[in-house]
Amino acid sequence: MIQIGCFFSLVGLGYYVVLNGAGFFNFAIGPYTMFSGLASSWLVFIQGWDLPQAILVGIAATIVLSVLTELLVVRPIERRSGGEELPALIAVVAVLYAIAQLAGTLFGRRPLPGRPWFYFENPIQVGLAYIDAQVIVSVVVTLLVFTALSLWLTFSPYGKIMRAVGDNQEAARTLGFPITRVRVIAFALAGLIAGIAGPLFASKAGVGFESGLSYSLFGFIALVLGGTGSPWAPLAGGMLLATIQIMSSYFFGSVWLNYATLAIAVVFFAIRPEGIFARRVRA
Amino acid sequence: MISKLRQRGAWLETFSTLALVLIAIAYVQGDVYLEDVAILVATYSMIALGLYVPFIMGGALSMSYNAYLGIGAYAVAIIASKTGLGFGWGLPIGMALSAAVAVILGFATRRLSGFFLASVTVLFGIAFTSWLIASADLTGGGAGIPTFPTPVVFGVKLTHTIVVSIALLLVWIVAVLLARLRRSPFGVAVRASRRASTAVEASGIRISTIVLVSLALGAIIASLGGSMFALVNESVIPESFAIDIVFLTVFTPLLGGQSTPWGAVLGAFLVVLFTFELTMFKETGTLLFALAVLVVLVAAPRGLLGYASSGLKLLTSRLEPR
Amino acid sequence: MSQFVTGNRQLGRGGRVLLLGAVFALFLGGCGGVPAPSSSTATGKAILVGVLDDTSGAAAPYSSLTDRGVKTAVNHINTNGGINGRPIELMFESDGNVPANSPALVQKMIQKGATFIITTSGSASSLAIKKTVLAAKIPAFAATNQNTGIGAPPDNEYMFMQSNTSTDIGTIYAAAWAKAGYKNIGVMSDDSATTVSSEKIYFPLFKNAGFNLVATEQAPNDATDVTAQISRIKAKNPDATIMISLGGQLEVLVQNTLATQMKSTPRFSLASIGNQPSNWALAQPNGLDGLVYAAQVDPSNPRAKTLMDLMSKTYGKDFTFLTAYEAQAWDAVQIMKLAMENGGNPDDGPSNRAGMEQVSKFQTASGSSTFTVSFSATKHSGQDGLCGIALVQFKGNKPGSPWPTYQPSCG
Repeated sequence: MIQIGCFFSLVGLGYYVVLNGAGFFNFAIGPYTMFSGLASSWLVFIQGWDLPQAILVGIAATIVLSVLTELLVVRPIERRSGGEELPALIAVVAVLYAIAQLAGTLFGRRPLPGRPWFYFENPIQVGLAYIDAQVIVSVVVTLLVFTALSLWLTFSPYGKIMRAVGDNQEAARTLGFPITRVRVIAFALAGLIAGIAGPLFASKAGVGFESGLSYSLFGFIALVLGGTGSPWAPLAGGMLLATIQIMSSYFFGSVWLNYATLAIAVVFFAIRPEGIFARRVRA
Repeated sequence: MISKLRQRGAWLETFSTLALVLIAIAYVQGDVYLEDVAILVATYSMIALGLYVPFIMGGALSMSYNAYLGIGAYAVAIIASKTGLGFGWGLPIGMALSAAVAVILGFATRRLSGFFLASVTVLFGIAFTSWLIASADLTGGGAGIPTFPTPVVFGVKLTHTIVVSIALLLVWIVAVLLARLRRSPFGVAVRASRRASTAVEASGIRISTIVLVSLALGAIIASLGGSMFALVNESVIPESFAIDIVFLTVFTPLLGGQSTPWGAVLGAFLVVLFTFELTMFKETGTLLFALAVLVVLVAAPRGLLGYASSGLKLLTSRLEPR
Repeated sequence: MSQFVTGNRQLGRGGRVLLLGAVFALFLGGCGGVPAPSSSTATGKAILVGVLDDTSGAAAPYSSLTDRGVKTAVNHINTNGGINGRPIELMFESDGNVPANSPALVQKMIQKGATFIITTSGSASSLAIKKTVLAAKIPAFAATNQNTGIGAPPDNEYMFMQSNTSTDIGTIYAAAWAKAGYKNIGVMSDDSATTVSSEKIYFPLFKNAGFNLVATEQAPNDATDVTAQISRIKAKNPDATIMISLGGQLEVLVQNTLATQMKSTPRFSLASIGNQPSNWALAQPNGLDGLVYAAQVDPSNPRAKTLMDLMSKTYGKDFTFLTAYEAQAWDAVQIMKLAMENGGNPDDGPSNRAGMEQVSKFQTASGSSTFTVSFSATKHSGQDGLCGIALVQFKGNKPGSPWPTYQPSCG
């Protein structure tokens, strides 16, 4: 449960970055995550590589995919259709589908397992959660990623620019900030986060070429639940979503996972789309 | 005189597409494999046509169409296998249920747009398949309803061939009706609601009503497609109605061309071609389809038919004497 | 100006229709014809056999192993004189474990000239094609499926199966648990059509034998977490648990979770995981230790030994363990060869069917040394007795020795 929560949080963070940097919901981030996980699993189990190199290749591939999405798909379509949201939405859904099919063609259509980054016997039990080595690794890596991103946004030059762009894109453009560069950086960062999340989570239950859709959906809900007010918000959202999913599955039956997720989405989107940690725009 | 030319164009389109459909029906007669391909084309076309009004015309990307397809299919299957009523009741019941679900879902999501609407409707589609599997008493659960007796109408057994032919004709009827609808006041209102909502509301039409009606209409069409699918296969299984089928079909109207419902049919045809039929594309068919969609979206947004018509215009304008 | 607009519209429609027609013609051209018959080889005109498999869906883990067994057997036969001097030529179509696709794909192969069909996909797929092969009068043989309904009426006149059925396996487990003194059983399964259909056989059988199914939990094959389901099973405190599924990733996940959360509860599984060697390494260390499964390969069976040697020679280090799927595939092809020789006319479906019904006491590579398969006009489920199954226990993450508590007998 903790591990799943961390995973949703990371995907949600990926959304957060692109939302800030480009004002856009990059729905294809689920497939990026899947691609990295499946690529590294394929390299390890089918090609016999060592885990660290496989993970690095997975991350690199995902960054490339993400940046290509921005350069080849999102930017041209947004330029052509002005303010309309629909063409970009359809395009990114098409990218979602295309990356899934690409992964299926390259790595085969059967799910592959992941490999834990560390292992020790006898996991510790805490309530409903069982803490084994990979859970601890997940928590540590997640916290590291969030902290790193938070610091980057606060202190690095491009980070500060990205926050400004996120607050008000038009004003930032008028002030002469390098919008296009920031967009690419945002997409690349999202690719990096997704690239790390994929192999991290793959060891839990394996990864298949069709897994990306659920990742996208759950990450999106994590973002909306948490809100866009702070880079740490997706962490809260992700944990909350995972808890609700596991609890409803435990108390009512496994099918309630999907019902509960749907209910949360309907309720939160309609009632409090700004999430738990709403953004306070600096006036 | 202008309206006469316009009318002539409309009749030309109607009759030439009817001719194509009749040729298709004749071609697949008696060949079980081709008939199965044809019913796939018909089913995907019905989903695509169902998407046409709310999505292509109205700009609302609601993706829960696998649910409407499934409702139509299961309605027929459940009624034919578990009740004494004739299977025929399955069709209107399926349509009514689908419309009701679409309206409820549309109402719950009326203030959502874009990514939020798409997410919620996809989640609904996923939840629907889970519900089918979990409700074993009604739906047969994971195993579905493996067989129900061949339906009989007025003493005539509805064989595979007959149902496939009816399904293809139905696609034609729906497409023609939607083409008419598109030019009607309602159609204009739907298309306008996408871009100029204030103008539409000012002329006295409530946007939310338009949206709900178009969603219901789309659901009804998809439900009909599902019923046909069930009748041809004489069985239903949850895996046939998973959310993946929406991802395949949501792009079909874009691929084929948005300015006419026939683009949806053409797109559906191409999808089946790419993913099922061309054996040389066996492994990569869906990937090629996905890439084709991306290319169309980025570089050729008017779809195949849109460009074909411009291409033809160009050709004939060159040939015409000035 | 308005005339111009109208003119455009007319051509626009015409253009659309023309394009529709053009694409249509492409379709007709592309698939209208039946491919030319294969040119005759030095050893005679090929006998066409269609294989319905699954390369992408939930049945893919075992379908691929079965396919490998089929190819091994066919190659072996072809290099040793073929059938009456003629080579066998295989064609494959994958239905992705979606039974709605299966009839069309089988029809496609029959139209290309197949006079015998072998199925290696899920049970639901085999069930779905019974009517199709009956109408086409081409016999079909389910190499590994266990669903009792496949070989049974209605519509089974052209459908054959050889594996011990779900009924047999359920009977064996019921006897085994009775011997071990268990009363309350917890069940974990996937939600695929094949599994749900098989539960219609297992659950009543277990209940009639006097067992309480205190928990029945389900998870989809792409589930990423089963903690909730296993916790619910644990809460009911069963004497033993059983996993009913197609195997693959989900079973690994479940066994890992069971090993963690219910360490001391005896666990059982149907055939799947025991026969998917590529999955054993994926379980956590000792995740499978102690698990008892229904094995269909007995290393002391001489025909199994011969097959193992052949596969080692053919595949080298890619072959590590003889699974039931490969053994049963081998048996299926050998039985098909025998049937075609019996019937006398391999190009004729009804002759092939008659030949199948003459197969009697065929000694298999799968199952124990004394296990045989027989068919007749009224018996299309080939297994003779229960000893196609042995209960084997995992040691660490590899199959170990037969379970000491109980073993089925041939009688």
